[in-house]
Amino acid sequence: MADKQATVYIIDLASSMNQTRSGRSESDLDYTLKYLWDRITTTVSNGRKTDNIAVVGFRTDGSDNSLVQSDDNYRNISVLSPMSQFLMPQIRELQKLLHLSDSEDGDGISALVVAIDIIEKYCKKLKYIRNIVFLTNGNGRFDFDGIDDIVQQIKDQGIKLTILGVEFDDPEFGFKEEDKPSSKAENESALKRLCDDCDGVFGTIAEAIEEIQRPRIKKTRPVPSFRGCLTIGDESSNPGSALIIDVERYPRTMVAKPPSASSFAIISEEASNENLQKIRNTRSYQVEDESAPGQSIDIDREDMAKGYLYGRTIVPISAEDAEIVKFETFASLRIIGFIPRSSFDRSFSLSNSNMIVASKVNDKAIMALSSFIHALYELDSIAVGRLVLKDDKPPTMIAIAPVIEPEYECLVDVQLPFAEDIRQYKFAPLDTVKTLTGKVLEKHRLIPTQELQEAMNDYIEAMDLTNIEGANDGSIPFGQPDDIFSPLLHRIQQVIRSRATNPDEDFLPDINPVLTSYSTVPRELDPEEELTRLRQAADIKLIPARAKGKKVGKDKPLSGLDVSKLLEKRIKSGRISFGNPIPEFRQMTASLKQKDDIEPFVQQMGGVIKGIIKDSAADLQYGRAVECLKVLREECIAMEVFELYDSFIKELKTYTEGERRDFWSRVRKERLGLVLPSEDPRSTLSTEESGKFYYGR
Amino acid sequence: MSADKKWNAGADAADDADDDDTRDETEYQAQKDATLFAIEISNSMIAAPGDGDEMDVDGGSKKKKKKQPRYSNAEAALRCAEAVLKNRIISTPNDMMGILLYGTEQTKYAEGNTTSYPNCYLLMDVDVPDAASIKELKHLLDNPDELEELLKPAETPASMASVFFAANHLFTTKAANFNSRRLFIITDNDNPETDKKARTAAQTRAKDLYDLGVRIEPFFISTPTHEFDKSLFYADVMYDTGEDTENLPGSEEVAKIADAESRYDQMLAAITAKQAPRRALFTSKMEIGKGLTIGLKGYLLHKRVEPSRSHYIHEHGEKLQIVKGSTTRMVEETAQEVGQSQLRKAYKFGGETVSFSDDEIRKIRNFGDPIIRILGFKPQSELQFWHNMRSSMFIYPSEEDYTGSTRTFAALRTKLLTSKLMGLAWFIPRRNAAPVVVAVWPSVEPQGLFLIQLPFVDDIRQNPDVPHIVAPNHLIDRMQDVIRQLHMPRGYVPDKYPNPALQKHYKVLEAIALEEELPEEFEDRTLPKYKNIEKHAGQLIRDWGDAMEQAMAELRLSRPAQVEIHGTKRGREPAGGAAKKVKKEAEGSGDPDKEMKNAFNSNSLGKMTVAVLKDWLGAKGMSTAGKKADLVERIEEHFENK
Repeated sequence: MADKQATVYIIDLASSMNQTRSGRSESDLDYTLKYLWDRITTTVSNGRKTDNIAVVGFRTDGSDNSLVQSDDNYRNISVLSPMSQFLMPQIRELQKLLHLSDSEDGDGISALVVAIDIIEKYCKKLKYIRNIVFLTNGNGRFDFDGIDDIVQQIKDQGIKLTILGVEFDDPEFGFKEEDKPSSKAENESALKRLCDDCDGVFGTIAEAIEEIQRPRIKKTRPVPSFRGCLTIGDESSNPGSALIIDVERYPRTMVAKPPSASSFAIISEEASNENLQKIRNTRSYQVEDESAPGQSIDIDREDMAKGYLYGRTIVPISAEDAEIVKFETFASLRIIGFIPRSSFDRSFSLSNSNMIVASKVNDKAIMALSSFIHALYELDSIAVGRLVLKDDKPPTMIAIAPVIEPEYECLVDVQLPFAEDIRQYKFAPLDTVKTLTGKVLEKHRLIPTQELQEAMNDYIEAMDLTNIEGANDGSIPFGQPDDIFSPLLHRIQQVIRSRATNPDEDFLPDINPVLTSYSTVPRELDPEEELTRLRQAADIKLIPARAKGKKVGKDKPLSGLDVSKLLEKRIKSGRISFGNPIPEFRQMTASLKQKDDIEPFVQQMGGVIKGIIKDSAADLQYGRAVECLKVLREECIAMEVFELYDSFIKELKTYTEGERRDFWSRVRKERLGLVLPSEDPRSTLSTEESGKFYYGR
Repeated sequence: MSADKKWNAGADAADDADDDDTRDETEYQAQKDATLFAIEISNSMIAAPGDGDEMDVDGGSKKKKKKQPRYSNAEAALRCAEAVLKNRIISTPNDMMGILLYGTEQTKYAEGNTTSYPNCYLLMDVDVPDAASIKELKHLLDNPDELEELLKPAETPASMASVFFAANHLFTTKAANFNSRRLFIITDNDNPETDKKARTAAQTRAKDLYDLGVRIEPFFISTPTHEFDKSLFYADVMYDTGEDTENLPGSEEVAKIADAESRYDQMLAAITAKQAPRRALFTSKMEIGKGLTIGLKGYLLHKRVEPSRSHYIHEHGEKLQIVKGSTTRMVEETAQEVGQSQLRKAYKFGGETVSFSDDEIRKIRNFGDPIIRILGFKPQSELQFWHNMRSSMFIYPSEEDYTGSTRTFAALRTKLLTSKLMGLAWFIPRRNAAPVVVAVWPSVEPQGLFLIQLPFVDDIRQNPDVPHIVAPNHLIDRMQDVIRQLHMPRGYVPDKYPNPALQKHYKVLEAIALEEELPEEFEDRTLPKYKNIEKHAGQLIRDWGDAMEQAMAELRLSRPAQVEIHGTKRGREPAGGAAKKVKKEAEGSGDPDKEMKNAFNSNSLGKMTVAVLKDWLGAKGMSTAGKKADLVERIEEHFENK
């Protein structure tokens, strides 16, 4: 896999490549370049030093190759990029050179000889994968004199030749060009013969372009995460009756992460790539010290020790203690027991999956593991094991299942939860409703009616994916992981490659449709009738956003007691107390007859907030003030009087200037500033204004 | 703030969304909970166990039941609180907790404020627990005399209004802005306020708590002779908070058969079940078909709990402090400091960088609004065992945005369950998150659906090469005999397997923090039960071993050449052999990890060669780019965060 590669691309730059045919909007050259750039940028993005590329143009205006001096046949052939690892400078250089010539002169076969020469000189006798990719529209001169020698050279050197032509006929792909000029037809068939003679690939470029739409999958060499023994029983206490098999464990699935971006600094105004400066990070360490300026002081590395938090207590752990904290383990895979597959709770699978195979140099282990795999399979069982990857690593519990494929068998495993990993959340049952008095109901607005259940059953049956073809590859069933590409991974790679070859344009290419083919229901499924019936039976109603601002819960206790009566006296007083502001403010606003009456309460609440800030020792009570502010803001928006909040928050900004400036950063952090149009459509605040309000002074 | 809003707020940090797993966890941690235990102290609550306890009569005749200490209701409640406290330190270390006794003769309240809350005793202030308060609680529970003194009931019980107002005050001052604030009331008194005025006051204060977003979670204790009747008082102070709780199995039915021996266990089970507030991971919607969308919330029910990470600490003026590390970014060449606004993300490509504006990055990452879009349905058997990437998410309907969601969701689940089907869905968990394809899997208990993330073709690794040798049938049969004997009839029950590394970590921390003896023996319940294995399968394993020898002999006969080839390779210990393998002990500092760590601890990383540093970083999967100083720094950061 990590073999060295040398690839020469030969491209036809004749002026006739300017033509557009077969209803394409792009010229032959642009069409061909699409393929060429995709291939080149794919190689670049792999970033391997051993992947080398050269590009040869023919029918170029001038001549630039090592053979032309001694032989005129090599005129109008230019080596555009010599063999090297392709990096950005090569890409830029090549971009300048890849344009139509004014010429029709130059022989394609001579260009092929130039390419062979490049490979021969570069690779010598070393181990390389040698490729030549020949791109042309098949017009112009091809001199097939002495072609047999050339074929022999290609074969001798082990070069893989690919010839791709614009509108070449390809019965397998199902393309035939009507009214093909006879000269092109002749060239085509001669090129085809050439390809056949040296076991090359011959095809039409449309197929190649279609193929590059399919994202390429980067292969990763399998690296074992564990080598050790799978054991049943204890060898030390029961020698002779412990089962031990040498195994290795490899990832079966592992998230293929999109390329990650690094941070750079933009120093000058213009944000071009050349202006990006590398960044280095320096770590420094501080502790709080109220007497120091900035309330913290720097600490040297030597003055620090290690510790842990137990609740909010700091527990120092000295180097000796560290040994005690450590849980000593030995690398091992011990079988705990077996469970029927049917009792395995699928939701207990916590991790990516891994595969366990026998040590490949040990036939006995392979056979032993095979008996384990088949026995599990035949008993329809899953093994539970305790796995320690390396000495002193914490153990994990794993579930182990057999996989038997043609010519391949292995175990696969996933991690299981420990007792602590289960969150004890309670959820009400969905099939019954229990009332306050403990009565169990089977008919309720939360329980599906028989009609709804039947409509759902019919709909689900109509949406059966079993016989649907894969959205990307029709030969595999719909929804098989093999048919689904990681959208983000390939999207990011796509835009990087596009930007690299068009650095000056603020242009993002359209997303490759292959990446989103699993974002919608397959076209074949369209059970309109069943869906309509289900929609009617379900009778879903969207709750308008405004109504949602109000609290969802009922404002009455479970008994249905009329609490508003209790609150009458308090509301009459119209006063919000310092000790209980949030409930009182909420109760006051809930009792209002019209929204304008809220103003005095907003005022009072504002007073409370300022009071809390004023009395707070350092920032101790800021949290309380923030909570009050949050409620005030929420209610003002819900009551459609955001203007009142806006004017208060402006006042508060002024109020906190000076000594309480640190409070304002809390306001900013919690985004409690001026109300945005997204919160109340009547607001005309722009994002800049909002930002300025938070940050400006 | 709803979970939904949180996700949107996170949209700015688009590039941090790379690692969804860690993000899930940070969001989860950000939803903080404060729980206040309010335990009633009265004559019946402190009554010695056995009094009026009919079950006690035949308690002695039960054969060899584990001898459980018997506690009064109040003491059992305190012990529950202690257990919960310790548990939360592990599972949710940022959460707050407090303990308030009411009805005590003594009165104690924070900041010397005793007048407002008579006969309330604040045993532990609402805060992130610390060693001192746990020690105090432990001390109390270990000293019956002190406990008795503290738990002495007052002549007149505390008013419920002051209990509620005390809770109000504690929550607003100590746990401001917490999303979850809960008051656990543990009592056997179903009618605390008979006086009309006091009742009204209590009801008003309870409404305040409701308006403040505090939830009352009662744990009512019934006795065989007296059934707790919540309609007498508690139905007037508890509210339906709009979640599905109205339909939840009542937590209040604690300890109906309160025989003294199991009372503590029952109470603990009931409280533990409520211990962790339900925290939603996301609020989203599911498109079942075009024009048919329902609302739901997502939760993580299974999530690996890791030991807490270590911190740097510094003794500063008598006081231990956590050291905060901060990173300053500087331009490499000029050492000029770089501000947040001067940063630009760029990808490496062809030896240079390719960059995009934040706006563009947002656009690139945007695959549409958050949604779970059903694509169709398949038999469950099509989901392979290994089709798994991470813990699955649990989804449960919500009526918040769409009425009718629950019944539609329930119908969907029922059909999937009865016909053994699963859905396939396109899933964008939140704005700008990477889309994934998930299996929608019906869950029996709890009732709901799981979303199981499928691997993409990019995520599937190649099979490593291994020669294909299939065991003969007679050998497989012997293995089947072994497996049959070792079946665990109850399946895998996580409760039976506490994480030994985690438990040890916290046991040691606890012992050091509370200045106790370090535990000498440590029980690891994840080890196989070797005695049972030997008893049930020992002979069968030996039989398998014999069959193995026979099978190998057959194999050698059938294809001698090939066996030869493998045999000549530097063979490892063959399978089935019982010879003990000697563990290779890393001699001295042969272990690169240790070496690196030592160098780090002695601050001498700079003395190592670049090659060594790079090797080590490479082995850890970290970047090896940059100058020596960068490498050293990267390694330092690695150990700091460990």
